[in-house]
Formats: sequence, C-alpha cells, structure tokens
Amino acid sequence: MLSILAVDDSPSIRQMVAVTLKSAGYSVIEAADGTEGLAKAKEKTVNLVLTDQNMPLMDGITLVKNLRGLPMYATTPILILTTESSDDMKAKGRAAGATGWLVKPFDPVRLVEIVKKVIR
Amino acid sequence: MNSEPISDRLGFWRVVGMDRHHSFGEFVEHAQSVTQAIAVVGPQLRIAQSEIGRMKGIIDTAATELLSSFGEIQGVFRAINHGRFEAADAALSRAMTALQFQDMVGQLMTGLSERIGTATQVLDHASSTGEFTGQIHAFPRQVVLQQDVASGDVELF
Repeated sequence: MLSILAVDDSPSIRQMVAVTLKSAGYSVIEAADGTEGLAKAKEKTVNLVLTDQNMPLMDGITLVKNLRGLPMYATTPILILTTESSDDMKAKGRAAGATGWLVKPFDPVRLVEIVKKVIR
Repeated sequence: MNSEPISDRLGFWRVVGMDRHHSFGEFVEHAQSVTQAIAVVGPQLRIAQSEIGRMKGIIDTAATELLSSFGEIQGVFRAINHGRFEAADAALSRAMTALQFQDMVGQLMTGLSERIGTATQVLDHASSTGEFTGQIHAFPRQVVLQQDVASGDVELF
C-alpha cells in the first residue's frame, strides 16, 4: 500500500486529508508541524508528502528543503497544501523543491486525482 | 546652528497630534485626554482579543466534529453503495470543501487577535511612558487572501 505523510497544524484539516486519502486506498501518517513531519519522514520513508505552509516550529517550505536534503526524498513528490496563494510564496515553494502548490480549501475528489497523478 | 526649538526638531508636536502654537496647558489637557482614551480602549481591545479566541475555539470544535461525521458518512456510502450514490458522494465532497472555512477563518482570527494584541502593546507603552513606538512592533502579515470557500487553485511545478 502506498503511504502518504500529511503535515498540518490544524487537526480538522489533517483529519479531512486522512479520511479522503484513506478512502482512496492510501496509508496515511499524520504530523502536526514540520519538525514532527521531518522526524516521521525519517522514521518511515513515504511515497508522497502533503504539507501545510504556515505551521509552528517548522513551516512547509523549510520542511521541503530538509526533505530534499535527504537521499531517500530526493525525488519523492511533495505537495504544499495551504491557504497562502501569493505568487511570491509559490515561487519560494518551487525553489525549495516542492512538486506542486494546492490552495485551500481543497476539493477531496480533486485532491485524490492530483495524488494519483504524482505519486510514485 | 539650528534655531528651531528642540521640540520641533524631534517632531514632538507631530507625534502628539498638535502644532507648535498650542499652549503648554492645552498640551497637558490633550495628553490627559489621550491617556484617558487609551485607558478606556485598552481593556476593550483585550476583551475583543479574548472573545476572538473563544469564537475560534467554538468554530474549531464544531468544524472538527462535522468533518469527522461527514468523513464517516462518506466512507459508509462508498463501502455499501459501490458508487451508486454519486450525487450524495459529490454533495458530501462539496460539504467537506465548504467546512474548511474553519481553517481559513481560524487563521484570519489568529491574525486579527495578534494585530489587536500588538496594537494594545503599543497603546500600553504609550500610556505608561508617553512614547510612541509603533514602528518597532511587528504586526502580522496577511496570510489568507481568499474571499470565499470555493476550492483553491492547483499548480504542479
């Protein structure tokens, strides 16, 4: 079963992402911020990372940079799912190595389509 | 040598919202009014900040509960109907998208609360020391720019 790491400081969004992706057949690991996300990503290599941007302790873009520095995450798809929609932030995410930028709120059906498209 | 009074050179009158032609008595009266205004407004801002926190808590709890219920209902639909109730499934997806208002409103409330908190600190400082230090306080950046709960853009790099 393909596994996905969902990182978001909002419990309701984490829950919604988890319910959506689990019902599509994926295994989901949850983390409440970038620091916890990085630790869990090191613990178990996942097939895709879906992360929020604005979080306490470590934000999403910093998490992407950290993950890209690890050999096992050099090519893993990393999607940023955030309320941030400015071109400036998107450019920073892209430069950090993110695979895509999804602006909240998200449509569960569309999220599954995108995950299917990019996951390896 | 600069012949301007030191109060003019320091921009004193501009900071207190008066011009140099006012008498000292008028200035004292003005300063007392400002201090009294701060004393009245400051506690109200603190109450507003506290109430924002309570609203956020109520919305968070309700939305988390609703999301959980909708997620369970959707899972049950998918398990027992094998896609025969597509309309219901689509309606649940729309509901789950709309329920994310909680995350957006929550972030807006956090930003608003931080803005009020910083403004209160500026007022407190001005009230206790007579100095305006608005420039050195960091007001929060605007994070949520969306106007509604329609699903957002997707961009794959």
